[in-house]
Amino acid sequence: MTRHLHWLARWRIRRLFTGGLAPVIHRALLEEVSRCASCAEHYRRHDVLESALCKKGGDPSPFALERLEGMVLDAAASFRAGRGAEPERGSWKWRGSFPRWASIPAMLVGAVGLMVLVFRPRANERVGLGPGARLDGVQIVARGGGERNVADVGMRVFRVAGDGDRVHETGPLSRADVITFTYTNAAPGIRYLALFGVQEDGLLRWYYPEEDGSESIPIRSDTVDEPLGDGIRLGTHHKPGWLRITAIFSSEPIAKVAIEQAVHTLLLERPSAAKDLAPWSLTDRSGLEHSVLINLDSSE
Amino acid sequence: MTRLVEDRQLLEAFRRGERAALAEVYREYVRPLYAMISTGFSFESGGHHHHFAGHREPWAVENTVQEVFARAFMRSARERYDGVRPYRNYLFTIARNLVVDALRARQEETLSDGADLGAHGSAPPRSPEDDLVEKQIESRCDEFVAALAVEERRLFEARFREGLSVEETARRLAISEHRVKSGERRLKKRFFARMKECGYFEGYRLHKTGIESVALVLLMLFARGRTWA
Repeated sequence: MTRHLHWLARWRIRRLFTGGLAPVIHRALLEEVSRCASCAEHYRRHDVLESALCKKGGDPSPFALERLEGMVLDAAASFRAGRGAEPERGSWKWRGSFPRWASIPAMLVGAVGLMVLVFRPRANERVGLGPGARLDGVQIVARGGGERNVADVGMRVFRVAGDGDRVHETGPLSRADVITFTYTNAAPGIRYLALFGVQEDGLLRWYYPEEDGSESIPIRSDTVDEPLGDGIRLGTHHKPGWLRITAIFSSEPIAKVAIEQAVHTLLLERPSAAKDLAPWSLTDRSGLEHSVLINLDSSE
Repeated sequence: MTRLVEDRQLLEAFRRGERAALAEVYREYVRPLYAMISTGFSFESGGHHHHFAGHREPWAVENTVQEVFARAFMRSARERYDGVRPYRNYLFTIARNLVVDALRARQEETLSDGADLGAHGSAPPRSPEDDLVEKQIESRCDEFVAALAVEERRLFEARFREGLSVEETARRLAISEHRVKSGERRLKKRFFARMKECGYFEGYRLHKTGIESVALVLLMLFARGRTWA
């Protein structure tokens, strides 16, 4: 069971009712709310207001049903993808009694199998790696000083597969793709994240906060690869060519407008910085930057 | 309510677990299921009659509804459905079993003859104050809607009042789906912010066992420290 943080649960409740949450986070939120009376009350009041806007009285609002639909279909997709606990019909099952003499060889075989599993080379980077190993090789740069490798924070970009149910580590990307992000935060005192992209035209594409948000969003502490909401369709606001995605982790929220101004000033003074992964040192606040540079194919 | 019985193509797609078919089945049955979970039902158990009063809190209803569909959409459950009897009955049986199992696990001792099992997430009975708050919200809501600009009003009517989907609204207003979504987000945020200014989100705090008691303990320790010094 994860620790309940009121501020985070309440932020997620607001986000759920005004912008939406990824189904997996929505499900976790309902669990959390069921264990905290004050957060449950916060949830109820938001629901009352939404229903009042829809004049629904005791009936669920269409928004509530849409949110539930996302959660239900996500759960069904999890089962299809084998992530759930659904038992498969016709699967092999041992039905006989297990002779006692066979237990020692079976344990030996099991132990050898376990050793093989533990020590075999990893084929997939995502499986079972700790925060340090997981971000190994990714350049993460602390702002304000020289470059150094810190594995305390980081952001990863994933391409959402065609069926919308799976994600892949970013490979070649095109404007037809949908991407999604995860973040890792094991740095002490870091509680906020701003995530945006910059392209050749120097304009910012905001991912978090979204277009109508005004400052960086609260994030969890001590977490690895925490998913960040829904996918982002690159075809909507992006052009073919390079895209520098930057995450700024900070201890206090940073205003969107401050970041925008800092980026514009920086790129006017030093246009070559756009494609450079060195830290931009955008704000006065202490924080950590992590950037990745990807290339967008023009195919739609 | 007999879609799966009448539409064999839908039934086959549903059995295969196709996303579009699952979505269609969800939309067909979610409202009656939601009503069932929030208003409650009676059932027999161990030769006794019981009544489940229904969940009142929205999060509790939503949690149960999504759990019922998650179970009903599992491959084994989809294949078990015979396609002859109404699917609604099948779904409601899953819902009833889920609720009864959860209540049994939590309230074993209250399973006596004629017992009202109540519900997890029940709200207290309505008071005159609740009615007053409801009227105030209604009045604030009417003020908010009256002040909307023409374009906002059209979006509001389609999405909030008529309950059209994002796609339908986008088609009707001849705007992109993205604009529909961002427009409705803005409307909700504005209304919530306005209600917050009116103090609607005040009056409930974190648990007393939380921050406040920690602060009290620290204060007492500090006071004792000063006395000893």
